Amino acid sequence: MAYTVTEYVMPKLAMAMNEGTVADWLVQDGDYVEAGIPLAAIETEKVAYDVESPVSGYFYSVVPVGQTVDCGTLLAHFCTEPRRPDAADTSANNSTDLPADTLGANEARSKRDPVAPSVVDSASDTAATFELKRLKSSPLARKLGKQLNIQLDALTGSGPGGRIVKRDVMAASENKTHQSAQLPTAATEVSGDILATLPMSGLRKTIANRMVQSLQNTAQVSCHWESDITRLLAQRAELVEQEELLGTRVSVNAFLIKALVYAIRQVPIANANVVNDEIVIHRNINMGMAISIPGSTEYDSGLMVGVLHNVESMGLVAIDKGMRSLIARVRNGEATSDDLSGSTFTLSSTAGIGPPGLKTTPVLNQPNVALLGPSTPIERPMIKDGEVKACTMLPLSFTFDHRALDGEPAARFMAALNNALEKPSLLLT
Amino acid sequence: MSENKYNLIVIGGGPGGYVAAIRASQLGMRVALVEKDQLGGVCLNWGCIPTKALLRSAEIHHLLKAASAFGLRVSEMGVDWSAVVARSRQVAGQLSKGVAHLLKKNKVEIIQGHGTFQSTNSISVSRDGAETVTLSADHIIVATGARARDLPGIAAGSDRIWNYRQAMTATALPSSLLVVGSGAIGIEFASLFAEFGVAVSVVEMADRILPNEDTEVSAYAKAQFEKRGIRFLTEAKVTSMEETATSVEAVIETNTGSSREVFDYALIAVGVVANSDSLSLEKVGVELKNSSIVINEWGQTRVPSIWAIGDVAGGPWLAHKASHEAVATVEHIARHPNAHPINRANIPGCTYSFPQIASIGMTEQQALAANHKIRKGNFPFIGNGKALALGDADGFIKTIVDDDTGEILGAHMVGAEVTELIHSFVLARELEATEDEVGMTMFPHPTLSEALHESVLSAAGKALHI
Repeated sequence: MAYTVTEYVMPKLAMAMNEGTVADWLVQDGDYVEAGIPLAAIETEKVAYDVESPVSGYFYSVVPVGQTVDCGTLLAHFCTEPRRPDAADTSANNSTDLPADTLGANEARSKRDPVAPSVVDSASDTAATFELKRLKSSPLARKLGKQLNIQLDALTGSGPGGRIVKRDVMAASENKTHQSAQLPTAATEVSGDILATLPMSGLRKTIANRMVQSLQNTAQVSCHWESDITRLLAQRAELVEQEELLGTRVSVNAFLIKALVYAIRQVPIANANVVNDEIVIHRNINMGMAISIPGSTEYDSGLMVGVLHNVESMGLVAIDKGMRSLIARVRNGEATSDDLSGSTFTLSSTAGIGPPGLKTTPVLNQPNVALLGPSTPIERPMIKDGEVKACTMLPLSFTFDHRALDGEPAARFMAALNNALEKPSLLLT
Repeated sequence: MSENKYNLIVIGGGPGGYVAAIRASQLGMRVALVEKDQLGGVCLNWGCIPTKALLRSAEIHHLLKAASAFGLRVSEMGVDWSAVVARSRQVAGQLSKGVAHLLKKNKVEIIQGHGTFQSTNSISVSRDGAETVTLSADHIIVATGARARDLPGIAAGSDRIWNYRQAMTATALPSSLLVVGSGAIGIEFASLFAEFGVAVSVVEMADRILPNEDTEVSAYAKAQFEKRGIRFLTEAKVTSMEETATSVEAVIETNTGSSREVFDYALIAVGVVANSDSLSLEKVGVELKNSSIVINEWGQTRVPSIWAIGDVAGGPWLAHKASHEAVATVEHIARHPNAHPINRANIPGCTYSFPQIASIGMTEQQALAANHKIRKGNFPFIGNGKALALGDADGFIKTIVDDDTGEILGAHMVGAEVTELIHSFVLARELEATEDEVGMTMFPHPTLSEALHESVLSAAGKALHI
């Protein structure tokens, strides 16, 4: 059999994935690798994946461990003989010059067809994707980044059009040395004014970019009201009593999600994404949930949006269990691509953390057009049927994108939600 | 806006000033350009361009002398020096008119006269000693250039002790010429006159000629110039000059002692001095250092509304540096999102002598001094087919590569048309291409450019034709 080479490229493991880092090769150069065995650990900004070998052959890596490359970039070769391919073996132009008897036409074609594992298909849903721009960087900056172990995607380029150039990498490298040299002494030196300097990189940079983009690109309106959840809490108390039977301690959030499903059925446009100048209204309700995670230091915080899919078809218990396991996966770094994409509505709660009665102006989780931000309930005297009664009021902040949603449907949505929360029997409908 | 109120006033219409004016107008500013002499400045009228025209005549002369080597017979050959000068002046005049046209097309108001600062935002313009008009602007860019530096105690500009301006309009070819200074200007005139049979002696204070170039280039070029009849005195200085009706007597001090020599003419080419006087700059608070205006990376002086670009703001004294500073400064003033200060480590230098010299970035000595671990590439033109076909295979291309990153730290060239080759390295450095990317680049065959490719390859031990 003639010597042929199959190219293995950086797989696109999720819709939102534009680049990936080879965290580890799980096989050695020169190994004969069977199709289907674990090949590499690939990390994206959000998720780590183990990928399997798509074909069998002698494995020769091209991209070293630690390097970040665009999807579709050549990562490795699978060869039919234990020999590292040279330029002539891998160049499509050269291969056509070879006599037909040493390299058949089909083989020549297969050589040029790069393989990658099947893509996780979330194409049916225009997910809440991270909009990563193509990283513009100079060859020298990339080389220096590799040598100095600086991730270029965390840098802001100072070259033309934001291109990352040598001075950016050198500056980052100096910062790094500076910080590692300074931080330990900062703890002991009382004289220092600066407690910590946090790099705007990685997750922090992603959050920053997304928040600014959201505020710049949408017409956000925030509204506030309080719903009387006294009856809802009484119903919940009954479910909490059955905790052992149900296998979960049903949370107020589960009721909230159920109420949102009810309100979305009344006003479907609240369950929509704005994508490429189109308002895409979804039948399925995929609840994005803002989940706080530890930051890079004790001073920092992190935030990710986990997605509980198809909550419209779930009961209270299923929602509650699904929510709890989703939060655990996100916080433990075990979230799958699906766990982090595809939201159609966002729930961002500060209940139990903020003071009772807190009102917020939450920032939309683009491309979702609406977001609900409940916070810590407050006890208030309310007039019910002409009598003053002690009620538990849930403060609610609702942000909507006025590009997609006008005041009238937004008000109807809030009214429907309020109705469902105050009359929880509606949640049974 | 009143008639004499502008967004920007530019003082000086050379390659810094006129470019600043055009760019500012493109960005929507109302611009006045004040020029006391000719548009285009020294570069177009008395520098870069007319000397290239003269050197072209010399180059053709050189080729004609060698005609038989190319299988050609030339029956009668001679030099009509005044026609050589006339052609040079015609080329300069044509370009200067072109600048006037460009400024007019870009709606820049041209005001003839000498500008003097009245305040941080206004200047008065005088003509023939009389004040004509006062102009004010939000920003004022000083682009008044530089003039030839005199030797201590010896002023150029007399009948037989020339500055560059007299040298390029000499009425007749001298029999012998003393050139003081072996920088680009001195070496170009030495090459020019030597080609036309003038006995040229060059005096240089440093221990080598072209002291800004890599030492290997200096040494090689010196040998080439000597082959063409130029005599060099290094580590030497002219301590006095006496002009008679028919000659210049110079006292030249070297390591071995002092000697008195007689020349037909002398040319002083010992650098330039900024035209920062007679502008009342100090009056408005602009700081000067060794006559150059002190600026920040954007060309801003200590006075926020006053900017300086080009030769008046310090070296290297090159037209392309001035033009690029002009664009950077104007775009910064206009808050243009793509404004970038010029990259001072990436200013190419060219000397249009025979052979030509061109360089970019660090010399070998500078790279080592900056603690780079380097690899050197070198490719001689004798290994280049096109150079052999041209009959001009003297010279080489040397490259300095960072051993760790493959960054092209510097490139130094001597040989045929190297001033037209250097831009590949300028571009590579600007784009931060490393030796790998240049190595992968396909240079057309047969061209001189293949030599620069091979030079880069040779730094990694991968040269193919040596």
